Amino acid sequence: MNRDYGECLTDETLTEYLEGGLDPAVKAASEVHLVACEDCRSQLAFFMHVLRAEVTPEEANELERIGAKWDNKTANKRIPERRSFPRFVVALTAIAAVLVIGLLSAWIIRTRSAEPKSAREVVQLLLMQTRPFESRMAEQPYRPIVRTRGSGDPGVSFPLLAGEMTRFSANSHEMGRFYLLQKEFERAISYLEIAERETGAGAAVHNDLGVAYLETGDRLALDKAGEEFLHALQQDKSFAAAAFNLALFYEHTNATSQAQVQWKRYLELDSKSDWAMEARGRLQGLSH
Amino acid sequence: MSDNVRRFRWKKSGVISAPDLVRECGARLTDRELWRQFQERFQGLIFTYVMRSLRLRRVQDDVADIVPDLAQEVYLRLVQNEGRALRLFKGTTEFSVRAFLARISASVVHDYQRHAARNKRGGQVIPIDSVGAAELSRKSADVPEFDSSQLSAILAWIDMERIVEGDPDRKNARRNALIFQLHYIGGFESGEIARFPGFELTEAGVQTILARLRKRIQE
Repeated sequence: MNRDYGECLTDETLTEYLEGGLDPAVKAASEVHLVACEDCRSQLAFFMHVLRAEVTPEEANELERIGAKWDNKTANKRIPERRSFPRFVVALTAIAAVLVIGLLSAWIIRTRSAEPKSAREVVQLLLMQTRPFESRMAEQPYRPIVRTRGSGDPGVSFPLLAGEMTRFSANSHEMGRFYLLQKEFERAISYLEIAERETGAGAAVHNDLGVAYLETGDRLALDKAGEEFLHALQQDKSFAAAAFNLALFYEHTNATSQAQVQWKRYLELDSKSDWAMEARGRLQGLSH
Repeated sequence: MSDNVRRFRWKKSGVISAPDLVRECGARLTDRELWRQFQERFQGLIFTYVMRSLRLRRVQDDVADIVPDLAQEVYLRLVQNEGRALRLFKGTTEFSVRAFLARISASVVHDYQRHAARNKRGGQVIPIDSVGAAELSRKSADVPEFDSSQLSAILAWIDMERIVEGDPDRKNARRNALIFQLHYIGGFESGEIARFPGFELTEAGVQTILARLRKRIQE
């Protein structure tokens, strides 16, 4: 901070200044500060250099080398270029493709009709299709969060599946999880609270109850969420889902430094999975 | 006929503006087509901004080796927290998109540099003799083109406040002083300064201001 001329300017203000997008009063105040503060002026100059429209021949050479490196890195992920084939080849290929797809579909339908075999599998299958929220249920496979503008309907009939859950004699924990992934939090909480009171309730139950509390968005429930995640970790120090959720809980309660510490702890437990990648991203997000 | 074809192509309505493309990518993180457009339009800029930031921060590593990794990190920052940065982007101009990407690129480079410095501190032990030799060779090879600390001292000696106070263009006195500093300390040419819309000046306008302030200081 510059004592005489107020707070130093953020990168956003500096680039908006260059864009000419600042409100006249803010612009004037920024200029007062910029004339006096060498650090901010240097940062402004930095962005002026970075944002220069012209590319020098030296830069162009470097960019060519960078582009080649990038292409090498991503080469195996690229979709191959289209080539033109004679029409009859295309037609034959199309017929063959239809046959293969038909056979594959039949096989998949037959295989799928055999599953799921238990209430646990119903929940697992649903979790494989969609990630309902940021926090992480026990045994949840990783899926990136996709925010949709619509209802977010995953395309399954929950009433039908509820019938299946009953048929499989789902226990309280499984029912709680089933309603949790539908975001029916009140119902989920009532099942999970029953599961928690049962003898032998493990870290997974505490974790899932914590998730239900956290996702309600209710302030009082939020505190309970933290307690549940800690409880789960007391039972099993290496329970990754609870470690992940505890960090999220700290983020939700604006306890940034605790969240940072917790994300680091999580990464000690799990440094390689996709969840770890997300955790790393969140940790980086907090350090800005 | 070729004119007609060209005109027809220009009328293509599917082209999305740069700011809208940024926001749309934030709203539809898994839309391959949108991200293909994003990459096509902005990847070159991301490479350029990362490369320039590395140079300006005096990172000595070979840029071709590290820019692709840092560019990936830029993409990661864009999509993390469900594409929060993209979704919250409020810009309306092409420049605002470039500024947005420049800020993220600069921040990625800054973190890279910090991380590298931390690793270095906790890193290998170098014999003191080789440090001395390296220091000597660095000093002889690294003759500064201009000593910015000396120039800063000269500028500090010039009373900027007095220049601002004495500028007859009261409304733009601070901006003019800033331009003066950017030219003489930052080393920016008048044309380069004029290219930024925030200064609201043509190249000739910048030159006039510089000439006027130079004259006032000489007086």
